[in-house]
Amino acid sequence: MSNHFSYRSALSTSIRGILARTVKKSKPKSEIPGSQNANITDTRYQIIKRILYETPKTELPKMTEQDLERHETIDRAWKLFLRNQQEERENELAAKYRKLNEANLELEKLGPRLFNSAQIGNKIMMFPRQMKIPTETPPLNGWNYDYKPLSSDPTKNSKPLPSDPIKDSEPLPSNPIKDSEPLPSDPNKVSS
Amino acid sequence: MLTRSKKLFLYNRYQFLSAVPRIFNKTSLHTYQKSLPPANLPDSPSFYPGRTSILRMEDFYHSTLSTDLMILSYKDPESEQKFIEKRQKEHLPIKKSVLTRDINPFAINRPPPKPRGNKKRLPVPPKQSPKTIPKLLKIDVHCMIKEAIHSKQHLLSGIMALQCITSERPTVVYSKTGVAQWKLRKDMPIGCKVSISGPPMYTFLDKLVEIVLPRMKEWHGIPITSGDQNGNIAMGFPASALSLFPDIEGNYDMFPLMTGFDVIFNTTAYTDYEGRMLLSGFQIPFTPRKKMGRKGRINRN
Repeated sequence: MSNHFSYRSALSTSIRGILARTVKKSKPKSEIPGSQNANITDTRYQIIKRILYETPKTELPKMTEQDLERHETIDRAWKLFLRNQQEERENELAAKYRKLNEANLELEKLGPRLFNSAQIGNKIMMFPRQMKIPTETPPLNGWNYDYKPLSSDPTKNSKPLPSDPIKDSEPLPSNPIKDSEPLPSDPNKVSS
Repeated sequence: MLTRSKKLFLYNRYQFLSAVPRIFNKTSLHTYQKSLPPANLPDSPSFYPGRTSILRMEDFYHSTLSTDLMILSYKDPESEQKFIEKRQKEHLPIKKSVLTRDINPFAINRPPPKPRGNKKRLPVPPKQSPKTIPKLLKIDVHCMIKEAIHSKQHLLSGIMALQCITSERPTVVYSKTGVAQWKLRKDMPIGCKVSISGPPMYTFLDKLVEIVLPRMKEWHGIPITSGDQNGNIAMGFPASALSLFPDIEGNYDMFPLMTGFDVIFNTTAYTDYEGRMLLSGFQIPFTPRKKMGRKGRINRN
């Protein structure tokens, strides 16, 4: 799967350095993370408390008048861009809705049978589970040539149940550049 | 010594910009602050530095889902009218004497009477238009930490975990009543919650759908009966799910306590059906089972 979230933690490198050093010193062997009977004098709590409530406050940028003007201009330009984008979308949706409404009214005049079958009524409508939300880059596994279509039974889980995630999962995705086959040689090139 | 009010002022005045998330919504002003600084300046508590990446889920909603949802949730005028009338219906009150309220001049400004049979009146939806398409407003992530009863520091693990997942600082939840059996007293800090909307919400949703949900053990989807009758769907996660988030997986040893949490999707839909339709568009799976491990019937509307 295309995982574009790095496995780096949400903490900055300096704080992680402090954590790593303190943990090496004071963490006892029998401590299991997530245990209900966690040690009350757990030093990790003190570290977390320090990170959450006692980190030094970052200095705010001191803006000159020109800086302020620049900031405001950029801000206004961005907001204008978003506003234009929003208006474009709204107009498009409004036009589509108008056509949809008109089509429905026309269909109602044509006859009850077609009209009633066109209405959704009590049908269960949900987006298909196989639908792919577009990603920036293509998937690592490439195109699945052995794909088999779904069975008609909608109650069956379409995707296979995950195998044991702790055993099978790798901490990092494999490097596609290193692991892939070497690039095919240029056929036009004269082999020396 | 820093008093509580002075600390609040300092939190309002300074904002953490980079690694540490923003402290949200401390809108009470100290006496010597005349007014809050404008929202577009870094001084302000509500300043958002800007989105740091493309929001895949949001772009997908705007390009594909919204149009499809508009078509799928379109109702013909007759059934739409029926639905609005059903929501507008005033149920009979418990006491018949209340029906003569209009005649009785002493009862003019009294509160509305309780309905018979304890029936709720759900919100009345507006007439359908391109502006009433179901949309994901916000996600509430909430964590109840039982261990905080005997030792308050266990809350810290929950707060840190939620902060890592959602990139927003959670607030502490206090108990409303006491239960002697569990040694719980009223107004005791017992959990933490965080409400995310906009870019943090879409990144959280992305992580959930792509990484966490596929790797969960013995989980078949949100029960199809989930919902508050008004389009908001909720789901609960066991403690093992927390370790699947990439933000926590990289730092697993630093969390002393792994807690379960629940996620509430707040949508603008007026029925559960439409809410589920919206979430299925974001690739959140639903199962016909009512509960995990039991067969359930498919609920039509």
